[in-house]
Amino acid sequence: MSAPVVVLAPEIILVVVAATIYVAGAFARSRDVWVWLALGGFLSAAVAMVMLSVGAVGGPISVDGMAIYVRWLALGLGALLLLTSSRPSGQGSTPEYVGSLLLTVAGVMLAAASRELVLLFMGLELVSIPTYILLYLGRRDAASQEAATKYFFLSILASAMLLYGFSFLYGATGSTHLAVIGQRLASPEAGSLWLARAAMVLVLAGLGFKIAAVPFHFYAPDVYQGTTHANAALLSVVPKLAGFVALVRVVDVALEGARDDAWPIVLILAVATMTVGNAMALWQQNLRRLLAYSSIAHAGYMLIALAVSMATGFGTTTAWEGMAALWLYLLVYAVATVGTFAALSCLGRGAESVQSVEELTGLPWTGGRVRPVLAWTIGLFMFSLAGIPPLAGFWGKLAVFASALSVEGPVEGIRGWFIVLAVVGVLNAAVAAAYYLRIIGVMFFRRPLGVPRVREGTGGALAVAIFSAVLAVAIGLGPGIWFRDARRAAIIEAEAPRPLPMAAGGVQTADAGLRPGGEVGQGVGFGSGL
Amino acid sequence: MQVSVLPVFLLMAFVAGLAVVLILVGYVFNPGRPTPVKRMPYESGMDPLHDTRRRFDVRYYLVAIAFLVFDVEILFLYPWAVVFRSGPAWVFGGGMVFLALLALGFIYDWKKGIFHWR
Amino acid sequence: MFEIRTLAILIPALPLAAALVTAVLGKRVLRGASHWPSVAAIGLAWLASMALLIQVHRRASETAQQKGLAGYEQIIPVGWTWAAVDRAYLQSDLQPGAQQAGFRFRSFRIAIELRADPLTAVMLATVTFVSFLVAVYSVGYMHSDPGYWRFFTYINLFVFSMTMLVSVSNFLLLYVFWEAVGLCSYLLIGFWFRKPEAAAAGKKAFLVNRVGDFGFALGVFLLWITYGTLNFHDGADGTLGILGLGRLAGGPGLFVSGATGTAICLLLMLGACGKSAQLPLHVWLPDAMEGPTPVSALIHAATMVTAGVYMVARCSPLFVAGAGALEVVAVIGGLTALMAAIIAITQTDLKRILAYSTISQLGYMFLGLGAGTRVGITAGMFHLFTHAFFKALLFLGAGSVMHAMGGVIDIRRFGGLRRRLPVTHWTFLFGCLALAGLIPFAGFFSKDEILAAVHARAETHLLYEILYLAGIFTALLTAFYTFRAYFVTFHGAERIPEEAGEHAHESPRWMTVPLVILAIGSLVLGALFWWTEGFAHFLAKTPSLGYVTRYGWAATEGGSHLAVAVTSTLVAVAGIGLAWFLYPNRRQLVEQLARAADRVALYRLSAGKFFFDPLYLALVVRPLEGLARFSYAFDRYVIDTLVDGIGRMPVRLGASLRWSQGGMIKVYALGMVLGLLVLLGAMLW
Repeated sequence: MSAPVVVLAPEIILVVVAATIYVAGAFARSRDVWVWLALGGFLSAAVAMVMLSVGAVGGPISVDGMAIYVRWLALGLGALLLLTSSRPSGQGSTPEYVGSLLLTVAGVMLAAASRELVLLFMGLELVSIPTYILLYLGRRDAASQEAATKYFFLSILASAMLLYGFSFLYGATGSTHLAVIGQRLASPEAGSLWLARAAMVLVLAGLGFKIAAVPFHFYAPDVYQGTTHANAALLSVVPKLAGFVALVRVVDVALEGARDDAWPIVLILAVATMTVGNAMALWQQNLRRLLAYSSIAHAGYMLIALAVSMATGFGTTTAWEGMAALWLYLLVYAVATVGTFAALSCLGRGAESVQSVEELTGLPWTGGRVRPVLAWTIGLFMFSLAGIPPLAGFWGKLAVFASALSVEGPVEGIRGWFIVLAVVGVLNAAVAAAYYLRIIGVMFFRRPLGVPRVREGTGGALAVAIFSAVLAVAIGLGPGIWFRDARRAAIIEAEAPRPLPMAAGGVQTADAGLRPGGEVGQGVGFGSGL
Repeated sequence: MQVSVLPVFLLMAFVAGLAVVLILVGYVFNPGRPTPVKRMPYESGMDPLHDTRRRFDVRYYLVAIAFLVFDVEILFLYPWAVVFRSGPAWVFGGGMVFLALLALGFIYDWKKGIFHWR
Repeated sequence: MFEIRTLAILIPALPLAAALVTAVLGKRVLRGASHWPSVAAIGLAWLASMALLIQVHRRASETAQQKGLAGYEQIIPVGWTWAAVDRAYLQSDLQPGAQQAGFRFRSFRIAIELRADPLTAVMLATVTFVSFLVAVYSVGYMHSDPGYWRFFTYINLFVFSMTMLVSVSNFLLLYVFWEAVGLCSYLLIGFWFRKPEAAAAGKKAFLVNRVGDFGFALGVFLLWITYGTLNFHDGADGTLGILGLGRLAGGPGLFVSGATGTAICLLLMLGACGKSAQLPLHVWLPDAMEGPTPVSALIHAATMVTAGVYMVARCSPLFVAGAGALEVVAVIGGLTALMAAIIAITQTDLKRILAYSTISQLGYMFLGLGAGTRVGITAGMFHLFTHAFFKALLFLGAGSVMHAMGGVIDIRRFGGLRRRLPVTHWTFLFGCLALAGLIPFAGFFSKDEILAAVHARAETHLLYEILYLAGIFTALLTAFYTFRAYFVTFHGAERIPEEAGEHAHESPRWMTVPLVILAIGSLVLGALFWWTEGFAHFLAKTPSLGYVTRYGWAATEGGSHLAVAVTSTLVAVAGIGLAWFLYPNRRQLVEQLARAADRVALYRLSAGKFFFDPLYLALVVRPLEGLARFSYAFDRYVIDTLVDGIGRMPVRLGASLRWSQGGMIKVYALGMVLGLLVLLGAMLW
């Protein structure tokens, strides 16, 4: 039974490297070494991913399409975030910072691969706890401390809700294994499902915090504003990734029985999240606060895709398209958001990085070689976030809205609901364009007020910004392969007794039934994903 | 399928009853000579009810957390100690990895000077 | 020799390449030498066209002898499929076997394919030759203009578009290049775009053409849904092209007749009216004279405006099939010819006189096509051919005058220029004689053939009788207004406007040589082709025209008719004589005549150009302006208010939620828990 160890080799590598960096960092004082070591850790984890993602494992770990996609995404984003924050504090806590970053990535990867509640929760906590440290290490001033404290308290509240929900699930079914839970809830003798429904709401709430969905979003603006650009970048993508992968695993796939009642709740959450996020963003002057609301709003769009796949039922083509839309959206959102924060972290005024929108006034015309590049990349990311073709963001929105419009479920009137949802989504996208374009307007169409300084040691962040910009354009111009990968990510091993829809790229279907005696069967592997 | 929850309720009732009994016993038999130190909720540590801006020594918390970690460690080791003989070899190995990680943490703490109460 | 395939591709490719080279290098590198790529490319294209003409002539004769087909055509694929839609809707499907299959969809495929047949070869030769001479002339005329390179870029683009227009074998591509020449026309009319009149004229030309093009587009749609293809030629897979040899051989049964057939023809004719400046869409052409004179000569006299004639000639089987369509063409042609000639009498701007004359002559061409016989159609095309020479000559001559007069073009302000501008004078005279239709000049033969064809129809049809008389009367007017312009300009006392300054001398060699060549052409070409009868016979080997020979009205008359010839010659001589009598010296008599004519409002009608512009202003422009104003007000005050209100809603919403972000952890936690409770309640209710 060494298979789980082998399959989890990338996570293990990351944890070992992190532990090494922590301890060695206590002994040696150097800065660059740790960053390089962490990069090496990411690289070896990637190598392990390529080499070891051959066989599937039963039991608590699954290496299905979604796990592969999310793990790759986490690795890639981890490397980008590492480069963005390669100048974390300058106060000698680099090893702690880098190590914690590695641990959060390992946590996301673990959460992506786990099909068992305890392991899943452990993965999610492995994301949360190092994040507290990262927030604390980001900058040592009152605002930063306040942000870290707020995040800490509210995050443990959310974790408590999540754990409460998990315990309900265990209580209702007597198993912590998702496939077994799903199977028992779906069986005729399951009886009343109110416990499962309550569990679903609790899980939605707990994970809603991670993805910053209304009404669990309150922390986001304050925390983003208080911390550094690099940390804000991390907060806006890493917990979302973990939260969505857990949502799909638990709420969408496992809780078969309770799902039919729950999609309207997700739909309402989506509408509330989009609308509140965008409406509040219109008022913001602080860049990170604005982007926090933007990140809330984007969670709303992604919830549309989740609602689509929940409403149509796991296994149908539309549900599959909805999940694919979710993963594509997450990718294009992450690219643009991380790129924006990376570009912003290069700019400063005095010792501080830029804070308010006004500080970007006339940025492309302030001379120098780096500032115009930063201005153009930020402009590009804003267009991508606003969903303007031919950039990546457009395809994300297209996929999400198209999946919402293709809903035709068994429930009466379901189609109408999703058309309304899509319309609200498009209206929201129009509102969102207002504040994205305001940033562009401030940058490009006003005379420079002052010249923001390009901060030292931000070469890594600049590289991340440029790389992300190139990626945003590449995805925008050639969305085909990214759609294909997102569709593969929608292949989820669930041991459900029905076949998954055929994947476009000729990917095999997973049709592993539950074996007699409630034992969990072996899933079918999909080779190496990307 | 459903496990009987009666023992759980019994435990809850017992705990609640015990708490009431203990408080009652203390209330009935206390000699009633309060001092300021006695009136504090916690005799060690700090008064939790005061102005939030008050200064406090963070080293206390560091030690407390380190203590907590090694306290909880025991909690994990009990069940492991019961079963590791009967299970396959990796059960033993897993416990060792856990202990090794703890040891790493200990080394880290030590090197960072957490136990050094200046 | 070159193969037809190579030549057909080379002819449009050369000007396109030159256009690109001039566009890229013109401003910085070539500058004053910007004409060289153009002159070379168009010259080579002309040589290629001549070679193509010879090849096509040989092959057409061989084919006609061997197979007895309706005509000769060769399709040259370029190897690019521009559009391909697997399932496109059809209303009916005139393809063999489609009816019983009963399906309503057909693959819509537009491949870029060129064609070589007599009609195309003649058009190519005409277009490239006139273009070449005009390009050479422009070297002198446009000299030292700041937009020198731009001018040659446009000219090359135009030559490319025009050669493609006559080469393509598909209605949609025809439409595309129809628009492309329209674009070039727009660019060149507005070439001096800083001049408000030029910009306005460009806009007017474009807009008026849009009306016609709209009709043309509808016609193409209708063709698609009735025929299930847009190709002229038959496809390799057995589909019948609209004008393919297969369908043509099948006879009238394979063509849509009845209301749909007529509708197609009328819509196509509307397009032709726009491009060829026929009633009621002729109003743009006189204004188009704001462009440089070589442009007027090339585009607005010799080539582009004849695209409509080409299109109708190409589609003549459709017009034969559509009941009443040919009569409409003939009436529009005849009326336009007459009306434009009447207007030309009173105009004082030399180029405008020529513009109305162009409209009038185009009317003649349509009149010939409208006769619906092989003779009529070949005569129309023959007139197109000769007209290209003498009208280009006249415009270039006018340009030469304008060049010498410092840009003045009002014939009242100069006179007696024959000694100052000897070459211009003589060549202009040749052009006038050709336009007036005096034997043995080219115009005589072609116009005479048209009149003869109409006359032949007149024996059985009253309408054509009237149109014949109108044509004869127009010939009188034509001779009169042509020589009015000639005498006023070149005879009488020498008068030179002060704008001319030191400039009042003969134009440079670059300009006079093309004039001489065109003058020779105007003199000999008509007689040459009449004598050999080569033109009509060659052209009749075009598939479309072969069909007309077989299924059109069977008029057996040859290319000329003695009585008609004598009548038209006498009438032309009378017109010239009247002009010689009245101008330039009998000013008072002219005024008396004008007043007398005005008793029946004739003079005012002519000078006011039949008041088409005010009419359109009142009937179309003003109401549309009113609608636009109303729409603007509606948009500004109703829609905008609504939109602004909606736009403010998210902002208000945001403001109403700001209290929730107070920064207190306990409030946030409370919010989360309350949210959880609400969701729980909703779920468990």
